[in-house]
Amino acid sequence: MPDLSQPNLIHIEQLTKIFYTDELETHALSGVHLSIARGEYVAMSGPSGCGKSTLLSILGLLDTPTAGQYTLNGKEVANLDFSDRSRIRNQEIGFIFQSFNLIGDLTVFENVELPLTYRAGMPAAERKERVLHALERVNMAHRTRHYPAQLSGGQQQRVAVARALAGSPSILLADEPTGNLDSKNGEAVMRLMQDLHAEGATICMVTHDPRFAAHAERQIHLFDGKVVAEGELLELLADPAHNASTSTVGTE
Amino acid sequence: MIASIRQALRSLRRSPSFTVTVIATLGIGIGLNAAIFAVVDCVLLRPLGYHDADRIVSIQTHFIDENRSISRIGGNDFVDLAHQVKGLEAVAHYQGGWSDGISLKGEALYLPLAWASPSFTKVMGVQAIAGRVFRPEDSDANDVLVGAAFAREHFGSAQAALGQSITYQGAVRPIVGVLPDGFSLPAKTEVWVEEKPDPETRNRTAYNQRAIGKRRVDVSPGQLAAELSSFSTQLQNAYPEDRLKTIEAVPLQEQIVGKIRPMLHLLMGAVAIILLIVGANVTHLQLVRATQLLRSVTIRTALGASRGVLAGRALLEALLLSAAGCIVALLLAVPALKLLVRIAPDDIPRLTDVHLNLDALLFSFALSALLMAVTAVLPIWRSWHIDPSLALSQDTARGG
Repeated sequence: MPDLSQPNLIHIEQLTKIFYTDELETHALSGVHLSIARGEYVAMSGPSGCGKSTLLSILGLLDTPTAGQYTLNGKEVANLDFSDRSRIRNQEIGFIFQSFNLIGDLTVFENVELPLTYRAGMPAAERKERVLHALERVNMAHRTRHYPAQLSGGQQQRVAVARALAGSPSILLADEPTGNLDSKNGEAVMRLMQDLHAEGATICMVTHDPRFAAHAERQIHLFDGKVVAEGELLELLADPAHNASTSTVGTE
Repeated sequence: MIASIRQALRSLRRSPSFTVTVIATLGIGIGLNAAIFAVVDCVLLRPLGYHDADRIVSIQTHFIDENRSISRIGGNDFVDLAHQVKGLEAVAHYQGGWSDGISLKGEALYLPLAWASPSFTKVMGVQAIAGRVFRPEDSDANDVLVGAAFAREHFGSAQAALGQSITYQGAVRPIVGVLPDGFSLPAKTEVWVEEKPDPETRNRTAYNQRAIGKRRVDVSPGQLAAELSSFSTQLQNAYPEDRLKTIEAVPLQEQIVGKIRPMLHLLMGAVAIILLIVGANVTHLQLVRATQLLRSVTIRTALGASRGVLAGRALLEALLLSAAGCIVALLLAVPALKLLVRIAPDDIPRLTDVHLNLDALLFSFALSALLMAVTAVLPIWRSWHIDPSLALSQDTARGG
């Protein structure tokens, strides 16, 4: 359940992202306002090209906005340099990717341990304890020495969830976590996400599957780089004038 | 650190074609370099292995009108030098170094031999490992010194050679001492026959003998040069045949290796070009590997790896490859060096002393590590500019 007694974990105001190419500027996000409270489970959805992944990139400090404010855990993070973004990303954010993004050369244990090795000063014993605890939470503690290629898709995603959890992040950002899974494994991962939320985790998940979006306690809809209400989204989708959802403007 | 090394080794093992190609390329390039460096190090760079070698000089005759020097001296010029030049504490003359016939225990042998005046061993600062060296005060000049290898081959040991004799030019000469392995002036000499203190042919234009001297401790090379210049002027004024020449002193090492220095430098240049080619190839391979590792590096960056971590990982891989390349290089360098010594011209001095030493090993490893570090710069720079948001776009075909 969201903790409304504390300031929002994430607060975004007037966030804009424009991609520039030789002749075009593409407005991926146009003045987005968004707040996520601690302990909240938010699902972001919208049609292809609406700006979901761009917003997730900025929320995860993988990218920087062109303009606007972004406050994470009380700190303004919109315009940090590469190293500060890396450090905060490592400490505050846990990523769950659609295609798991496990590193094939590393064992399950090493994959989960990887982000912890980037934290200066964390002793090896503490890393081990955290890794084993995270793997136990996703029921993968018996596969520590396996390589990703030796696991099923569902198991790989559970390992990816463990990797995201091991660092005790402020928020879990999930990008289509069920996108590469069959329905059975997809449901299992969604149950795992619900369990994590029940234990207090803050989750922001991108999905375009309404069934999975329904697991979240709040749904945000994006269209044409803006947050819109659900009813408004349905109207916009029905309008044939909005075939291309991302606006592009010629610079010449 | 151990875990990082283990992971890097595993990662390299999973790219066998890249790993084997880089190690083989490095091995060939560095191996050739190590072999050539060993030759250059031993022939050019290392000081002569003689006592106070930096004070031993070779006496040369410089012809003013022809502007050329020869490392020989006229008979009476040597006699005057020995008596008048005070900057040298001892002088000796010698000749030979080519093969000649001797008789040993009734058997005829044909081997490299030299004649040397009694002060020869004093100037060179060499001590006998058995017996004694020549006595500078000797005037009968009948003694013989032999090399340690010669003594072992013909008498079983250095000690056993003492009291034996050889017959040379019809005279029976006693072996009075055995010189240590590694002493070979002139090059490859196995037997030194004592000559009288003054050259047999006194003519000032009979350049039959080479001469060496040992500069006094309290005399600088510049002071010695000045004294020899003054000495040359006296000779020019006193003797018509000396009018167009001067007597000079050059370090013995320069006299021994000076002629072949350009050839060895050329060889080093050729090997440097080979190294450049190796560097270009390895850089290309590293870039291909960086492309293969793009996904892994993107994930690491997305998970919070700093630029230092990314560089450290790439450099660790480079270091492991350079270590493996260095081992292969040294395995190749040993036969390459043997081949090089075998095909080298006979007049290259100190060639018999050439071997892979610690300097060559350290040089090879440093070169290998440096090469790998340099070739890793571009891939590291590229990894620093990876967009971490690719971790998301790699995920999806959708453009949201």
